[in-house]
Amino acid sequence: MSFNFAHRLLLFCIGMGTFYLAFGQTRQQFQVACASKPICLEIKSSIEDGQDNDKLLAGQVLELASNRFGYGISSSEQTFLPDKVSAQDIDKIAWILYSQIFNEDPTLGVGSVSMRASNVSKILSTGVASFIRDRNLACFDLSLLSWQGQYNFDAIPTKVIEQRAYDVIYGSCSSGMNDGNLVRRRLVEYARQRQVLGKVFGSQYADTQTGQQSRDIQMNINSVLQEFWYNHFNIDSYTNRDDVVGDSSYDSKISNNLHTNFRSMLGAIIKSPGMLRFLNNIGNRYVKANRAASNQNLGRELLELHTFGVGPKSATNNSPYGQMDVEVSSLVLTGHTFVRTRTSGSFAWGYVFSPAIAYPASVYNSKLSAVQQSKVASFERDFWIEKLPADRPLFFTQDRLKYLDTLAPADRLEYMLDLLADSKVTKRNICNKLVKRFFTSQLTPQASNECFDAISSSANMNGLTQLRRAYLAVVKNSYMWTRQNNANMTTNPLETVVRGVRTTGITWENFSQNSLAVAAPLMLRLGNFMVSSVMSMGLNYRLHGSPAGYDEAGASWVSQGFVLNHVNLSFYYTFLDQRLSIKTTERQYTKSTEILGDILSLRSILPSDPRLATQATKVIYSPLRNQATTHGFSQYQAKVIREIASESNPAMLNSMRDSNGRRFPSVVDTILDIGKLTIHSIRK
Amino acid sequence: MKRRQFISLSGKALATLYGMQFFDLNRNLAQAAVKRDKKMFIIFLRGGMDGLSVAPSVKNLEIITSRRGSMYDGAQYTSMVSQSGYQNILRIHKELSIVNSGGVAIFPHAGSMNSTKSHFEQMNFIEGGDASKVLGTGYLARAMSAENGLTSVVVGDTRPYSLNGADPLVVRSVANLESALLVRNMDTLIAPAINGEDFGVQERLRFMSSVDDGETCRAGDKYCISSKGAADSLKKAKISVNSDSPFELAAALSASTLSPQIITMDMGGWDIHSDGKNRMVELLKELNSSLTLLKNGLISRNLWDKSVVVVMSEFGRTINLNGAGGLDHGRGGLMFALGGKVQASTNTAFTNDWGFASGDMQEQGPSQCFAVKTDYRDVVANILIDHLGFSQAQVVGTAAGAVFPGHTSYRRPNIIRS
Repeated sequence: MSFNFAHRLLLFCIGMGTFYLAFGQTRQQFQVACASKPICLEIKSSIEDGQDNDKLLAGQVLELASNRFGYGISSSEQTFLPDKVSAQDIDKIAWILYSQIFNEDPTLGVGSVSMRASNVSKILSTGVASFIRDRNLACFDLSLLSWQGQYNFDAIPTKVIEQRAYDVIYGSCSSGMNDGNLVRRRLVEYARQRQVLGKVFGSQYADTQTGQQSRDIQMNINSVLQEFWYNHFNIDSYTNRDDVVGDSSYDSKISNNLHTNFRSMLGAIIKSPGMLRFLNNIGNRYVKANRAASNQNLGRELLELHTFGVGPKSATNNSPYGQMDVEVSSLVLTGHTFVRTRTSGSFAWGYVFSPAIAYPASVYNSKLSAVQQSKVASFERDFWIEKLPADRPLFFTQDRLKYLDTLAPADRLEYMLDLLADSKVTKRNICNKLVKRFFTSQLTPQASNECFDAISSSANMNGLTQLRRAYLAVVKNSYMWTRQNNANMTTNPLETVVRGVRTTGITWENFSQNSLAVAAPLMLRLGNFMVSSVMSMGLNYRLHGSPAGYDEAGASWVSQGFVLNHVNLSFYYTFLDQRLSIKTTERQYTKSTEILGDILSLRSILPSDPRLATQATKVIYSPLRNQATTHGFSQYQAKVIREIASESNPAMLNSMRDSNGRRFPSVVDTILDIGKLTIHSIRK
Repeated sequence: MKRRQFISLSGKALATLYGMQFFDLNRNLAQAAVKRDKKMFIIFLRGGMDGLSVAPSVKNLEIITSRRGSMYDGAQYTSMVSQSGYQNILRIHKELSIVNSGGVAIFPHAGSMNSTKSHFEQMNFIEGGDASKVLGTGYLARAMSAENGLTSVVVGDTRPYSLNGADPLVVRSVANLESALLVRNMDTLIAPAINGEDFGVQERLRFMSSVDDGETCRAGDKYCISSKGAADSLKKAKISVNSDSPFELAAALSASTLSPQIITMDMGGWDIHSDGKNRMVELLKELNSSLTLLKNGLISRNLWDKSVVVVMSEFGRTINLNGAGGLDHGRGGLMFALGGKVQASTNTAFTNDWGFASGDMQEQGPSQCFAVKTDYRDVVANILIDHLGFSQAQVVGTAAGAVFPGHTSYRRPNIIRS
């Protein structure tokens, strides 16, 4: 027997022994608890079947149990369940595993903290089930930091995953993926993608109080804007996991500020644990030896990505900052971090300013002697001023630096964010991105100017309606609904999938003919389809690792792979009803030509000008072009057209007909209906 | 990009697959005999690779020592003995052992002449290759348009800016490739629709794709393309892939009937602001295994002598460690090329070592970094001209359509053996 084997065996026995001490007396309760949960019974059945994956999974549960008691076995080791395992142990394993998935057992769900003696005593006295009920911990925050990679995700029965995702979407954790009830990385990421996509494409959400579905009239525009801002302040969902930063509020920090002002949103994001971790500011401290910040990552991207914007690809001007500004920004950000705090027995992660690691208190002090002042001046000259690169303007002017130096350390960040948010360059950058996102990748000065005027209006500067006015200026822009702008935008994979789903009229309501229990797995298949479609076209949605986010509507997506996956997607949409056993409400196809016409057209890559159509695209698309002409308007154009038509220019709406003289097909009407709600939402 | 442009590009992309020549592109530059069987691979390390970690200097060990402990472990480095131009000058991180296996040219102090330390501006500048920044196209795209019939491939998710304006085949996986090749059958697939024939909703139409359920054709299916069809397409294109690695896919595509001259790939994660030592080990392991896979794939297909693999990044990193055990953005970095016909630069105008004199570095304190002394354009131009057979006028000079327009001070590093 090798030492390694013996060592592991010893650890295993210790773990099992401890495990028994903690739970042995509640063996019967495990059995009862598991029996009350069909999925737990299914897990139990899987374990009893003895398949390798299941045994591996079960073995890892045992390993986990031993780890939780401090007798860790290397997580890289694969620990199989022993061949001979008692029925009682299977009950325990099944319950533990079930609890891991559904987080119903607090003794396993909150790390070592939950293994307090009082908890164990209570379980022993009241039983597992009542303990769970008493603590009402169905959505208890779960820290999995030490558990990463310990599970064989693929071995979990599909139904279990679907059930869990169903719970996330419709269950008691009503705040969806922000509920902190994250179980496993892959499952969570997957579910998060699905849910976000569901929001973006305009799903309805269940009323969590009654369990009934209800229409959400805030759908679409807020979700689209949410996605826009998430991408602007992109962090990958791995960083945003609760078990990494312990904070699930990144999305809500955006949504809470969606219709306020940019300064408010910027402050909320820069101080969020997700961003502080993603761009390394958690470790950013003042280094006395060289009077510098220890990490420039967030300091740089705050200037370049979050505010001023990346310099243009085809122009000679550069961004209005230099390396010196990056160093100043990074210094100001020293000490801004997050910690785990405990309040009334519960733990939470949150932003803090830590003076101990921050750039020290001001050295610019009017009470200093002349000699000291001279040193201060010298310090500023040496440190702040003189290294200005010759080819760059400097954002932090001498006056700004002096004022910055007079502030208390904790206040410097607020001042810097004020400056950045109020910068004309920042406002121009935000407007350019909004215009590009909403209706044209070909920036027009007029469109951007109208937004810029709205966002810069003195009456609304940093006011509560600043961003809302900017949105409205963009979507009401006169150029947006002109013929010249028709077919002017190449959509990214996300928008492509969203548009397809909208066009086919698929909504969650399509499933309402079935009971919720029957519909849930089907809805999840649709969610899976959406996620996989976006990814198949090259967008690693919500896992995009660049702080610059993905290209929202640009040439980088144009490739054969993108086009061909469009085609694949279309065929999938065509038979969506068969694949998901649902009946779509919007389309009653009688001929395959209609299907293909609609499906291909929804992808908005039809050649609107035959002279530009290549032979290859003609082969594929031309015969169908006539049926799809009316779909040439983007959803956003359609929204504005609808608004204008209904309020000021009905002739415009009536003039829109397809090549056969028909008014809008029903599918376009559907989009317009959504658009109507959207515009209404903005105006509110 | 307008949708019309997108359509046009899409059409050209499809035409590439069809093997058709639909476009009569303007050819303003003198034609040269580009060698269609030669390959250039561009591996772009996104995030800013720290060259000093990869290949520290023997002569300046005090600098290395200052990083040691946090960034370096002396045992991590091996002497570079197989290349006459580098022996006893640079040491190589042992995780990048492929560099020691011969056929390599290494350039410290490499980068662009643009001073920005922004990832995105620097990448745009490098991949645009246009010092005036007015063209809006990528330097590889201009290379592809220099002559008729050149082919480029991107193994990855999206087209890089270097190929903006070109029509590369973009594939990110073998499955994706199968799907792409199946478009050849698209006309057959939708022929009934074109002809107005109704093949009925109930008649299952299946198309092999990543979103398919893995179904196979059934007896009686009138229109069905199965995975067998995909396999046939791959067979026709003479694509044989031995693993799921994108680097193996790149090698396989090089040997296919597509016969690309330029293949680009990206690797991310090099932005090591913290925990630099451990992250560099992992990154270099991945880079080494990937390059090894590519090299072996090319050797097995008798393409290694016809290939040059360029590894580059947007910039290097700071010389001194930051307080988080990482390195912030710098300027001059490391660039190297591998290939069966690659040799160390014979042009002494190109430095083969890191220098620490005043002219070798720029800025002070935490931002101190290496200056750029080797223009990446010279290295790439050398390969385009001496390896792929472009004329010098097509690559550098004053012509607006040149690969590097405005680059009038071309220095030839001479890294291609005759």
